[in-house]
Amino acid sequence: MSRYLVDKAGRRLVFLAALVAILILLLIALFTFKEGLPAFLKIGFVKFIFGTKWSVAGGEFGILPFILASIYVTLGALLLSVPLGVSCAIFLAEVAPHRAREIVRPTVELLVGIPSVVYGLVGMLVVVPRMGDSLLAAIIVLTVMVLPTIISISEDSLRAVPHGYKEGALALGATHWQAIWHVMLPQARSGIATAVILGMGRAIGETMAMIMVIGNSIIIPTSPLSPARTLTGTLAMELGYASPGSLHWSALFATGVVLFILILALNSIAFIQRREGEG
Amino acid sequence: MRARVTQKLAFGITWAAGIITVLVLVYIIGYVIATGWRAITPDFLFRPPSEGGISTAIVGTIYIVVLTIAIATPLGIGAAIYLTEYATENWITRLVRYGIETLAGVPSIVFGLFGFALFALSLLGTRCLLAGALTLACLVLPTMIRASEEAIKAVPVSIREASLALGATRWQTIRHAVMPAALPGVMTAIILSIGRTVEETACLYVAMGINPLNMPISPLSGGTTLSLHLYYLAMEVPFTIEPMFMEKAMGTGVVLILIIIIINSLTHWISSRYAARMIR
Amino acid sequence: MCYNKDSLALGVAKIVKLFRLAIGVVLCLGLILSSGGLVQAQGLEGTIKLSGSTSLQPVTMKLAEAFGSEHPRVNISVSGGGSSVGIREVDEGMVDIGMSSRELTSDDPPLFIHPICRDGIAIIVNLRNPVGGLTREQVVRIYTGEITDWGEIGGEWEKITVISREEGSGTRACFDEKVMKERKIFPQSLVYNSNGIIRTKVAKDPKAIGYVSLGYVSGVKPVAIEGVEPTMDNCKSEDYPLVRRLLFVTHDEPGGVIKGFIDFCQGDAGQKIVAEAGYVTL
Repeated sequence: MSRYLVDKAGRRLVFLAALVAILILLLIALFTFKEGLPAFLKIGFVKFIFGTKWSVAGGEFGILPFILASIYVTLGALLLSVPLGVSCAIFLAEVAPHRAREIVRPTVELLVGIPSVVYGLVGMLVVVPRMGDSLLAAIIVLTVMVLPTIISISEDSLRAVPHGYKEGALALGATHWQAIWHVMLPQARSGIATAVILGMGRAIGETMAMIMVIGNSIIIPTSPLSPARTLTGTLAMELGYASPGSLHWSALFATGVVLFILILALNSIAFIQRREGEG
Repeated sequence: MRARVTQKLAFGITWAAGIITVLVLVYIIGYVIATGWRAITPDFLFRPPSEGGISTAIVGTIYIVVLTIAIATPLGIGAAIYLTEYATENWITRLVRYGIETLAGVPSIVFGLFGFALFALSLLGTRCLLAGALTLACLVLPTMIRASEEAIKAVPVSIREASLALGATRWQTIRHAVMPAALPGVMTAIILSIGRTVEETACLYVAMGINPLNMPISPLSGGTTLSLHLYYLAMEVPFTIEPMFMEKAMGTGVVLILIIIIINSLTHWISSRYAARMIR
Repeated sequence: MCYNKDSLALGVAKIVKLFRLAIGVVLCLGLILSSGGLVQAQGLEGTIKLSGSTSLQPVTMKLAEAFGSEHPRVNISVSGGGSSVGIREVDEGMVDIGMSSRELTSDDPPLFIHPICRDGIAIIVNLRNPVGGLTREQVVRIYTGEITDWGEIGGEWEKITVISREEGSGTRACFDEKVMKERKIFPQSLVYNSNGIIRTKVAKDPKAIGYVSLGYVSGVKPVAIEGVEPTMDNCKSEDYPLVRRLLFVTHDEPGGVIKGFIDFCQGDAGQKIVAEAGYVTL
């Protein structure tokens, strides 16, 4: 009898946890939208998104330069970090000898805990002198920051593929690599997609390190070596100076809303990937 | 024959990937240590920032990590269990999952503002460690939930079926069959969250503020963390007040790295003690 | 796979014990490390909360520390956030004193102003840059993008990297007001949000020019404006034009412990600390 009660209690407990979690996340979304709405109404949705001038003193708020910069930087970082990260994950899960894994995996986990400021500082002192404050510098720094997330979760997904799959493939005469490429990776697709999504989320939301290497000029970036300003950069740098309720404040939050939408869009692509992988 | 060549090539690439990753980390850590080791003295570690040390930051960091993980872990793992084991797989759960992942991309500064408005201003009335911890818990929640979910989902159905076939209830199955199997992945979730907590700067800056002077005693007092202090030293302190600001900033970084290594090792150790009891 | 209920329970119990232990250790550490202040009992008593300008935060902490050693029963906490944040929070009653690195405008709520010190803003270039002095007009034209090359003003022929602070910063406000006047800084300039970053950038880039508070001038070269060097004396006499006031603001007429602290800062002992910190006395 008590077993049954425990079962019910357990179920209630986790339901509660899920509810609280979802509630919090909903509140944050609502909070951002609520604060950002006045800007959309007063400035006009199209003018805000496609405007190219951002001037606090002049009262003009257009965020096209920021949107482009954020997209470039995120896509650039993903282009570099996904192949590198998944390769490293395969290395750790399947290829590395035991001792090598013992070194590399804790290394990767250590990278997660290093503050953005340190990445920013190293970027500022080492990367920027070589290529100037630019999109490229930002992409390199972001790649390094996103890498650990992608590696660790991808590796876990690969390890979770049931041995039977791999052994079956090998038994059928496949080489180790063929087993990995044709059997294990597709199986781990869901987890790897999650890793990429989380990494992408991190990339878009990264602020501190970004601000230190990207130049923050309010221009539309025309080359990888040109400086630019991201959506998060503007938010971070100007939020302390905007009075709550003012147009500036609302415009900054509206920038946050745009960030949300961007992430939603990018996530949709990855989501579709994952749905197919779950088949 | 071609297959072997492809394999050699592929494995070569993965080896390169592994080596590059290690090299990058070694470089970053090496840079931090090379710039900061001179700052590490007993005075630095045990004296407060008013005397040029970082004691308040060390205590503050430990405090924040413990509080944040204590709040976020039950919530996150609980939610993950519910989503994978109990909830029916329909458009609602998919929407929820979608929403959670989107939240993972929200810049930490927005979390900071939200946390400041809700926890510091409304709930607690003051900027303090608890406000910071609550805000951070919200920040790491998406990662905690999603990574745990993936770990639990990866547990083969056969394990659940076997447990149920033996007469266990749903809850017992989860507690004693599924969760132990999902443990390594869940540990990853926790480690990633701890890492995020330790290094988070922007969010805490808004929700908690930097209070380097005070040694935090109650969760309602102000404080600072190692990453906040690093930021403060590197960015805000003029040369005239602290001539060794960059060395001390990097010195703070060294201490930070040490703490992360300790926490990660601890988590691994607990996890392996656990897994050791599962004999194949 | 062999496992049992006991191992699971044991594992959970272990984790719980570890957390309890961690909290206990933290509390003990906190108590031990702070017990030093419990001994003496003299002077004023109370709490003072400050927040606001990041330019003021380091020197305010030095002042708080000195004040705290004379009055050990006073608990002072100093947060950052920016001048606007400080002004807002003192108006709402969240803090006792707001720190501001700019003058109050008509948009700000009416508050009591207590000047603490002045701050000189130096225009800096890399140590390897031969240029040592500029006219105000030259600086303006660099920052509007009209002058793009160091060669045009007596340096080596290299493209100028123009660095500025973000809109809203008190430092930038002073620069805009005293140097740019009505002209706008061009959007291609690089923008960074702290004195420390700008100093580091200029120190690393031979082609860079930027502006920072006096206290951050290390490893870079300050240029003379219209022939006047940004030295402490020139700032005191305001021969050097780029000088601004740094203020404490309060909601009401300050009394008790707050008044004690402000008086201390404005008095001789406080001004001595201010000068040592690289700021200009009142």
